[in-house]
Amino acid sequence: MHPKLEVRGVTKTFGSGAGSVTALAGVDLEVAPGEFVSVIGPSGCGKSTLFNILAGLDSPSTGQVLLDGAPCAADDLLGRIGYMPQRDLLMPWRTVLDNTILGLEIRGVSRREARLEALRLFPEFGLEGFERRWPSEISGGMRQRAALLRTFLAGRDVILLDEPFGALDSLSRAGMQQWLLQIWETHRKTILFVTHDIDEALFLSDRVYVMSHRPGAIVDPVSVDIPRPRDYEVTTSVEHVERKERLLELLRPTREVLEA
Amino acid sequence: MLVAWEVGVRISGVSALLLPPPTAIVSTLVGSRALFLRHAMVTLVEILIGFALGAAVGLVLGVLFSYSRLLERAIYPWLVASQMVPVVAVAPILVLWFGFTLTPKVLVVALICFFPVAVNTIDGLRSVDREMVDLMRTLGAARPRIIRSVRIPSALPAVFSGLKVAMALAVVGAVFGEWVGSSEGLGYLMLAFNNQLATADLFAAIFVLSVMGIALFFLVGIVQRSVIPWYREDRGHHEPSKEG
Repeated sequence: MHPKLEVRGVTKTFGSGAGSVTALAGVDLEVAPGEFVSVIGPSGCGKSTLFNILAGLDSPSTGQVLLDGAPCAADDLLGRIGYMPQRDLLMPWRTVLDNTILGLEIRGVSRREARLEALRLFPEFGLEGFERRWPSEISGGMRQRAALLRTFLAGRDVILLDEPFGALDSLSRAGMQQWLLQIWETHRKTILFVTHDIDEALFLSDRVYVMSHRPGAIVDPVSVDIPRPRDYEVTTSVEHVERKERLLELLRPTREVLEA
Repeated sequence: MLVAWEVGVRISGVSALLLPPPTAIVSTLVGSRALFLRHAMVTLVEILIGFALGAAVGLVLGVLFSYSRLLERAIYPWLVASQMVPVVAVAPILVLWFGFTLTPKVLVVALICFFPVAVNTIDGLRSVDREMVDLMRTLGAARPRIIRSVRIPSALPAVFSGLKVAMALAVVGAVFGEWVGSSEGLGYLMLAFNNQLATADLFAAIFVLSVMGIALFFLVGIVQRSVIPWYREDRGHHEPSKEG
């Protein structure tokens, strides 16, 4: 079986000549159908560039992105990959409910039907009772859940999540992580998750890719064979700590990586 | 404050020709209310037509410019120049061309109004959140949909700021148009009372004009709240983006 999403030798250079900047220097990764995979790396390692390429917003300089085994140009990817950027980007002029149905509306579903479909998922996403509120009236955690519901309702099999909990405090963050796992276990989407939080990556993922400092290159996947469903206590277990040490080792910028 | 004014005028013995006491102003207001109402209606019509015309032209120009750099480079400097030429100089020419009719006043008002609307519309349409546009693209949205669902709504708060400024200026513009040449309207009344040294009546006319101006300004605010109820001036809706 093909991986759901595959990245082969993707590089990205901005500009040309002496002023050019290499943001990605050879990224290879794959995500199986229904798998939860994380990419971790230091700030500015090109994670966002990689996600823009995967979402179809930008083209790689070299290399390929394959969806269901078929190579895709940027334009083919647009509209086929669910993308949740770091900022929730809820539209201030739409109510919470109407923000979540954006993807359905663009697909041509009538507003009425789209709302009905969204409302069915509101309790699960912890948004019940806030349908008619403006985004500016709800908390950061709720905004992220609304943004995630918008991404889910767009109906793509593959979802890219770019540090969705980065702006939340650590307590709400832990809650949101457990909640995300529940949602993922019920809906079984293929998820590629970017974070710079090692605990978060280990707790959530089946496998974790480490990205080196700029220019970004994928160093190694670490598989996280800790059984599911996982509880948050798992983050203090021996297995977790062992893997964390390995990831920390990989993240330490070596001479070789810096010269690459 | 009104009491202090009344008492002050009476005690100090300032001539009522220079500063009439409030009671005198109120009594002329009430006594000649039909007169004030008739002239106020004239000015109101000038303001409303001129404002509508100016706002429409401003909106159209703003939209055109934000979609065509070429058009903007060709015409924008002329628009700015049009604002540098004082209305004081233009108004008499308009009166010369159109006579003591409604037209020159409407044109003066429109000339003043279109500019803030155009500038704010351009800024509003340009201030669109790039990331929100990208998000729409990943959801498979085509250009017309992005314009309708993102660009236009995100421009509306700025457009309304422009409309408010325009409305405040429209009142001044109408009065000015009347000063240059007219036989009716609040501006005409002011000039007439001033020449007759009817200071209390002059103050009454100014009062009527102020009330009308304030009401019109708040009217724009009310329309704004019903068109963009999600927008609150006291809280920005763009949180800063974070490097990842």
